[in-house]
Amino acid sequence: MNTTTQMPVNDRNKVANQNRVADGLSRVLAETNTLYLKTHNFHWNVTGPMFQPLHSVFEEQYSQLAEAADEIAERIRAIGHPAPGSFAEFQTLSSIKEASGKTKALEMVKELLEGHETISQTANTVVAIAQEYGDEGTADLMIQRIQEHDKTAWMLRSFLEN
Amino acid sequence: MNNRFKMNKRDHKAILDSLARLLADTENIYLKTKNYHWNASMPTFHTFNEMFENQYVELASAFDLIAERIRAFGIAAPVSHIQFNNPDALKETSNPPKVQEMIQDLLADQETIIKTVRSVFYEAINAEDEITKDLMVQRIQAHEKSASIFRDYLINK
Repeated sequence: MNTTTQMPVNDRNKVANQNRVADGLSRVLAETNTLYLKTHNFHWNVTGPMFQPLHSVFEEQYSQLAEAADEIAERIRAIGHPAPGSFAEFQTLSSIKEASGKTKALEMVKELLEGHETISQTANTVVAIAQEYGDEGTADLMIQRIQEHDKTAWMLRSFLEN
Repeated sequence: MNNRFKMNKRDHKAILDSLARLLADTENIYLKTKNYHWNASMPTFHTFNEMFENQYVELASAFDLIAERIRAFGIAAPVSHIQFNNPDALKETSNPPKVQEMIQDLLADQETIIKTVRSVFYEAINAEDEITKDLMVQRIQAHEKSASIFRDYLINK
């Protein structure tokens, strides 16, 4: 924004704050999309006796992640920023790495679990940034995201027990 | 007897390679359409927003079908977009352009993907793989529909 210089101090802060919030949201978007792709790939490639339950659980999860990515991107647009939307940007922004090579069923579960925990943490830092600037809309969305990721993480963890 | 057991190895590999490439291209055009859905801004915003959304939802179910077809051959579907990358693949954009350019860009991608689908279609005919052939007919229909919507928009401009 090149209009910052003519703005009152409060508004100028607002612009800077929105940048920080948008950066945070962009990280959550990138991680959500990376985990979406990973979950979708695992849905296709899972093998073994756990095939049927994991195949359908992964489907439910990637559908939720795709929907979430849409909501996060719309929030970024709602606060006046362009949403990142390429694999190149997502790779730079995301701390979740893409799947590579052949993965066994339980390792898939572990990797996805870590992914959900990572996003939950990232979203948590965005809640703090958003609340610092009184952006309750973003904070609320991030809290919803944390709830869903924590729930999914708990479900995935249950596959790893016994 | 399933057709895939009748296929010779060369046909089999050719189809799998092409399906993997088509999967990558479909994934790319899906993400680009979603990107443009998010970033389009214009007076006719609502119309395009909805159209892009319909298209990327259709594309997501398409790459699921393509991946499942690859799995049906007993081969793992490519696991990340890095494996999808190849020099002929569709190009992605990091900075969303103006709407007119978005449409031109997506139209070009749709036309490219139609060519890829056609080549898989002919490979499937040669290999007598009716299932892949049928899937490709559906994909051509969907991509031609999207391309014609974009073309109409550009004519009216």
